[in-house]
Amino acid sequence: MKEKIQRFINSELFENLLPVLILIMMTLLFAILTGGRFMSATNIKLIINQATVIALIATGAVFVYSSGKMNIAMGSTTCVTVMIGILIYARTESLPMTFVGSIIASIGIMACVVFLSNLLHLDMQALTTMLMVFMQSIQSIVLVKGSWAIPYSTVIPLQKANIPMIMLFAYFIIAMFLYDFTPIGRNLEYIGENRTCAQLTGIKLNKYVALSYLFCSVGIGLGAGAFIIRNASIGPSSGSSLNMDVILAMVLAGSPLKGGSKSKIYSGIIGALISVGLGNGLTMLGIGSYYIQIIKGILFLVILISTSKRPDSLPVKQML
Amino acid sequence: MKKLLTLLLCILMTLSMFGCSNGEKKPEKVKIAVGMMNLTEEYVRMQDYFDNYLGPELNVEFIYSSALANIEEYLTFIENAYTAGATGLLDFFGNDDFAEAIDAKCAEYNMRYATWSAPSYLALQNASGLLAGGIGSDATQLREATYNWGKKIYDGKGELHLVLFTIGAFMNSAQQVPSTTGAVQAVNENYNLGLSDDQIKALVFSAAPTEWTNGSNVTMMFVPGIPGMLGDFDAVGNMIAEGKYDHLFIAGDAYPYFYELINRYEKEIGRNFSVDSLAAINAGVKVGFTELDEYGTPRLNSVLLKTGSSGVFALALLLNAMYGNEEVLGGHGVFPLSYDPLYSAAEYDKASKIDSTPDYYTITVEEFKQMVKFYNKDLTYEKLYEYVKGYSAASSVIERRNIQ
Repeated sequence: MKEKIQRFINSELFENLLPVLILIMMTLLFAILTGGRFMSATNIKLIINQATVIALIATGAVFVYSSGKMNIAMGSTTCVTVMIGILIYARTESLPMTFVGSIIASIGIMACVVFLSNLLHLDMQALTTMLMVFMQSIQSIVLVKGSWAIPYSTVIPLQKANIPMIMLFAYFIIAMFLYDFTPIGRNLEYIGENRTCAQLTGIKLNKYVALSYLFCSVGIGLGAGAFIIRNASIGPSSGSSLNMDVILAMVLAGSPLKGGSKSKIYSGIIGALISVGLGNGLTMLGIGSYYIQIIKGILFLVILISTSKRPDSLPVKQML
Repeated sequence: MKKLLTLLLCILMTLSMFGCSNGEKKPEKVKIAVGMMNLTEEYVRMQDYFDNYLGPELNVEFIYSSALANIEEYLTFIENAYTAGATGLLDFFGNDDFAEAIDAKCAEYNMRYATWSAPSYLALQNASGLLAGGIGSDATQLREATYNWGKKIYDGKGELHLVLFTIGAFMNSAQQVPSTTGAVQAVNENYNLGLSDDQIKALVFSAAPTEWTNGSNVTMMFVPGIPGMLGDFDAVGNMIAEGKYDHLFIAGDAYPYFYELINRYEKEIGRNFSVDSLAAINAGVKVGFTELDEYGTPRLNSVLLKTGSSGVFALALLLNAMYGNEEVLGGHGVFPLSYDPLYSAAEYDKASKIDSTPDYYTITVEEFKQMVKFYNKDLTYEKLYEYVKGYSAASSVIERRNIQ
């Protein structure tokens, strides 16, 4: 019996199901503890809305992280993209132009980074570190005198029409198709699993890594659009924890940060829902905001440790 | 058996009569969300006061935010607090830029709110009609208080080389604009500088370090910045390190940020600095008054003190709104707090005891109930205005609580 359980725990099915099981268990637990208030239609809708920005960015980030790379400029790039979107609105007073412009701006920023990477033969990961600093500086300098905003009344109809949710589902379907039904996802996982082998089998590393960052930038552009719909403004300290929230979401859903075959396209959405739902449920239970962060941190560590495979024996014994 | 049962019934009925008649009627339990930008000592004291003293007596429960870094976190907090049952909001975020968003979010949930914030913020809000009112700085009153204080500390004799840390005046902060203006007006008058109102306004709103001098005995350096940011320390520190200034005026409650910096520069440049600051009651200010520098003088020369009980007055406004007594709110305006100048450690020592124990609370439960029409049927807008102004003065608390 013990062996059967162990085999099931080590199986791929369990690994794939685990994040969903965690989400369901969390939902049921909070539903019981809050007397059903957690499961009300209003609250579920609220959680999904709160999770959309993180989920959009995290879904795009899965492409990057599955190749074993990192992008630590997601939060700052989102913020600058929001600024560009608000500027576009100020000029055009058109929300569709704002959103299209945000996506184009985000892709443009990442395309510049890809270009620089190819030109200077620099690692994309290192360049995103520089990009993060650059974007944060832009945000601080430009917004030093105050925030930028569009009239909040203009985004209320979009909130009521659940546009961020629609954007998320549409993007997720496209991402899922690209990741699971085209060679893109498979090749990225291969690169993440074993870079050398992937190269030797003919996979063009630079091409797929560049594609992953560009697709990530689409998620960032859409996330910026969802940000504008939710907040209608941006300040100098906006998005300060966004990058960490995205990484936390992916880890909570069991997606390894070192990439590889265990990466899951749905980890962005599931992880964002777990993270946001956790905060929502704990607030309902009267847990102080400070403790919520501690609990999230502990959960992050537990999942990180439990999803990291450790060798069964010491290396020297394996060699023998 | 029957007799026993009858006797038991009599006893139970008698006890239930006591239960019905004893104590005043309490309102239905309400939950109030409290959103805060910075975790100050005042906020922590307020939490304790609300949870352990006032809340149980008023049948009010509170849900607190952590330090809210930005508007996204604040809107999320309001949403979560709503689903946790909150029907009111104490808004201590205080940023003009987000007034519309916060108002719209409260409108979405039909949530009444009161703010600890600037008049300009109040002017922007309330498209929804849900704003109860604001506790804050009345510009005229604060300017006059700072002017009178400045007349005493900048006495017009000898030379004056003054750094004015104007904080957010360049962003039209409703506290720092009148406080800086009052101080400059006092210097202008005492030293006969001949500055016009427009000139003073331009200097107060400087967005970069700006020096003004009369060419002989008075130099003023206006330094803007947000407390806690590295740039501020550099800007103010550079001015002090130049060695040509010997006074520092801080236009808001930011002295604790500069305590170590001033210490260091006094030693490095060998110059005794005189520091005057707007302040709330906190440990940094206490140390500033009680510790002596190398020259045998207190590190802090004087403060214009706000007792720091904005939260309790904002709660009074909110509860009046939530209980349906709009008429006492006077059209959702500002209810200003009072400021008291303090010039010595002895004076500060008394004031620092305010809110430290239940015996020294700014507002007792009974005094609070005077400000809520549910409990005080005779309450009017004028009386509420005077209660807030009177009860918030440090001198008033010292007298009422007999603080020694």
